[in-house]
Amino acid sequence: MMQKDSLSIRRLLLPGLLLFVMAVAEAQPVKKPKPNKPKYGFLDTQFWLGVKFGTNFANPMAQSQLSGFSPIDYPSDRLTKTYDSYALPGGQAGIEMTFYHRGFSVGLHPMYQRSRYRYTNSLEWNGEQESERFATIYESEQRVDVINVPIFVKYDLIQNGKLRPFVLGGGFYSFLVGAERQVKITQTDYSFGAPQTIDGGTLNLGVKDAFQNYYGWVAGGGASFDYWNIRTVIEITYNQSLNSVTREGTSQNELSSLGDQNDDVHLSHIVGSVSFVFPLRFIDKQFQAL
Amino acid sequence: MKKLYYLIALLVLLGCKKDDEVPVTSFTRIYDHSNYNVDYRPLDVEEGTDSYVILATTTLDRTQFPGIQLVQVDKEGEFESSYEFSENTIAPTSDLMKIDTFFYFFAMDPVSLQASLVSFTPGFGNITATLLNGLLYPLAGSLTSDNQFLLLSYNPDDKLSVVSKVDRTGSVGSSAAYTIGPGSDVEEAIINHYTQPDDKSLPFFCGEVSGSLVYFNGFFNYSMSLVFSNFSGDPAGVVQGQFTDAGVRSVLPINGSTFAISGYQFDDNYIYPSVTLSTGGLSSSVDLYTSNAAEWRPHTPVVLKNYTLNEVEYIIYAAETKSRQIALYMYEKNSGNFAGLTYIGYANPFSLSSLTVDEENHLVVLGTTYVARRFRRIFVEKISETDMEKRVLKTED
Repeated sequence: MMQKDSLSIRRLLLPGLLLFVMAVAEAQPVKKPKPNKPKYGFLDTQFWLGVKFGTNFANPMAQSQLSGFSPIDYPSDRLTKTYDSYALPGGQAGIEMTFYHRGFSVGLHPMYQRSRYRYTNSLEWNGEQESERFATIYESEQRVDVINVPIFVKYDLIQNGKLRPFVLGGGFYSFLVGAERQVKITQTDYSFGAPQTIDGGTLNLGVKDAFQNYYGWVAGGGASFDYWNIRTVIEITYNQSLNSVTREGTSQNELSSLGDQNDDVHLSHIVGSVSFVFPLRFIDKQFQAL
Repeated sequence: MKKLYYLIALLVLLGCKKDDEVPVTSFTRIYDHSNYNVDYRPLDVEEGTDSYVILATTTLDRTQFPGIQLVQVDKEGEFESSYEFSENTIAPTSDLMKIDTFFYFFAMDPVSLQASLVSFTPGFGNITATLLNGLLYPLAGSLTSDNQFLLLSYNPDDKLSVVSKVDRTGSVGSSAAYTIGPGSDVEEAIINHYTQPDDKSLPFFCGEVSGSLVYFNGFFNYSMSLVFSNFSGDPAGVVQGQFTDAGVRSVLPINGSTFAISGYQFDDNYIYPSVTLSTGGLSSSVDLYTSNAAEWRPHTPVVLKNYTLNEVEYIIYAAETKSRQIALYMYEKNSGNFAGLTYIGYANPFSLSSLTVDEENHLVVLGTTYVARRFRRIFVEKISETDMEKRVLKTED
């Protein structure tokens, strides 16, 4: 049911965006430049193309807690994972393609993005003797690599001058490229008399089959700076997936062998980016940096 | 402008691509117990009503023979309940059988060493244990085509391997007893089979070729031999082993005298997805050996199971590898050709107990894993029909 609802939202969201973009684009009839064009009028309608990169911090939001263990004699909430929010930096890099018209922009910014998040869970076994005790902690760092394709609609709050603050909103679709998990195991053994902490090793697991494409919404703001022939854009956005980044019902051997199972995880990110973009239309000898 | 339209239209089309079809039925569950000293050893799994029932052994305080534990989990693999038998019923054979809503297995009385037929219903109700007079040391059981049971047992007084047909009430019908021949006693090996199952476990099993012809793998002529019997005085045919060092480990009848088998030759294992055995004469398992299945560990249990996928019949060979994984080999039943392979287990060691195919054609694999490399716990892996196609046959989405 969850997947059907999400699919319906997505099917409404993307065609809606398409219609909006087409309406904005169609609102600009092709006109011949007026002879007495203002000095910077060519910037009223413009294509911008450039590079974009930055960092992100992910927040995993578990919609349900799942485990590969099924306890026989203790409550299952002892298996609950503890997630860290916005703890590990990720990164992204790609290109920015933006169409601007009189304060509004529509941007397509395909990026290669790596997200990282972390969770911890533990198990413990006890016998009748004090020495019959053993504990293990699993610290898992998850990396998810995607081609993230967002569509932004941006509005410049100030449309003239070298500094142009803006707000933006839109949607994105992320195509899964890869997923890796690093599991660090720390064990505490009480059978030696005093508790001994033992490094249980670190496992690097390819877990792509346990993840899937995801999509969601994005909102944020920033500012453009025009110097020389380059526009520099600094942007901070928040995005959130509307479906789970993990695949339900899969049993990936590498995970299940450790008793691990993906929760139904929605990801949100705080993303900071810098872009360097160039105008593509109407470039001639008259173009000067603002 | 057109290019922008194309780009956005492409994105919308990609965005509207149907989500990956994900099966919701596959799972792996490890049944953990917080007790430092608990040690489960599962034997077999059968499908119940909205559940799977697991037959397992446990350790007992007052005897080296194993006790009996039943575990019930739901169709998603979550633990539901368990039942531990008293020390009056011990040493179950590795075969949990189901007729209608009743489950059955053979066990042993610890004092008289008599075999008993134990039955129960889902939720562990109506538990009864019926002693089978005159049949001692139960070693293996199986279901017959007429909803009765075959029991392989051993008579230590007369040194006989005994195969018997038993009905649901515990009445013994047809029975045949075959001397293990002259030579030293095999009782010690049989007792070790019960008390030390992890050390070179002996492959006792029995089954039905057709209504009139049955087979068992047990001691005959002082060797672990595959014996064909029609319940007459002499065996119909024998595939002679070599004491406990060589013989047949598992058998699955295909058609007539054609079988899928696995065998062992000291530390080597071999596979025949399709081989003709002499069901009416004497032959030697040593002659079957050609090459070693090098991936399998010495003395691995090997479980054979029929499986149908996309109207093609396969035989699954499940065995333990030297790297302590479980390997599932798939062969086409008609041709005997290799069709696919997948593994269960990573990092922690995994061992194999049994396979079953449920009513929805999902494969259910039962075994143990060592959590934190030291605590032996039962695991169940259910591989959906869809995942069987992807994982084993390696078909694309």
